Amino acid sequence: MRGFKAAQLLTATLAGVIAVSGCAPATRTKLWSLLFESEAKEAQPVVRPTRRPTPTPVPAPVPVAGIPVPELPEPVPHEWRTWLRRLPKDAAGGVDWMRALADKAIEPKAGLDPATPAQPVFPLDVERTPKGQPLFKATFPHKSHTQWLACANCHTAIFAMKQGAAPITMAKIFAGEYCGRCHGKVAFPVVTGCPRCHLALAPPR
Amino acid sequence: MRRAWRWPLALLALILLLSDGLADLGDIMFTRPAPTGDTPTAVFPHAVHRAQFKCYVCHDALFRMQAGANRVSMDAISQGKFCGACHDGKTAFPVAFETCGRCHRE
Repeated sequence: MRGFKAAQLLTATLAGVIAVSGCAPATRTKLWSLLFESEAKEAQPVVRPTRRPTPTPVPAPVPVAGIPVPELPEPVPHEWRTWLRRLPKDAAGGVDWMRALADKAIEPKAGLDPATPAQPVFPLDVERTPKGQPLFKATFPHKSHTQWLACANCHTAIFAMKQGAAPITMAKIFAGEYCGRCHGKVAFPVVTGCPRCHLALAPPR
Repeated sequence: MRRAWRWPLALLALILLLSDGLADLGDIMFTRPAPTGDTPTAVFPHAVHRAQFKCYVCHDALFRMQAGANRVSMDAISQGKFCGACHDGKTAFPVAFETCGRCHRE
């Protein structure tokens, strides 16, 4: 029992010391002075350093002579892969550029000068139906293409401007001709994009 | 699922996971006819460029839309042709010693 009492006394003393040392300096001095006479002098006000010292101005880095230090204006973040992943995706997992354009997730400029006006959008749908296969009717929207491309990009080197002039087949597109000049290379892939041209193949919403 | 397929599938999943984001649709590799030292092949990321400019800004005035049709060289770029039309330090990052790795990276 004696040991238990000693432990209690020790705990109480420790708690008292901790409580007193947690007090303000003036109160602490008064309390100590009750026990020790020598502590009865006035406590010096403690000046604590502020947590955030005022920042000293950092001198600009002096470029080393001979080696130009390039200043890199970053319209797109340097970590552009992360940035690209945030753009809307199509069914195949690639970037859906048309939706990105419509949602204004991207705003591609029409020239090096940002004030260059974009060329007018040409709203003409060209339709081609294979003989006896109305389900596979393909619709070519000029509207979405002229938001990116100029007329001269396709006409007349790839497509003659005459209905039925180009003998387009899926085999030729897969081989990289006609639509395959861009689709599957920079534009959405042919293998996964069926309903984007063959509108009747689109799944019901 | 049969046990024998477990490890090959796990490996495939790992490869797919790691390969995510390593190449984008439209990345163009400028492979050279002859190996030139240790300089890696230059890669043109179409996706980054088309997010900022419409196709007709570069096609066909700067680049013809046909593989191998553009004789791109560092000399031509430093004369302001091809990539050098924009990558001059004003419109886009300059072609400089510090920026080699931004194109020559494969």
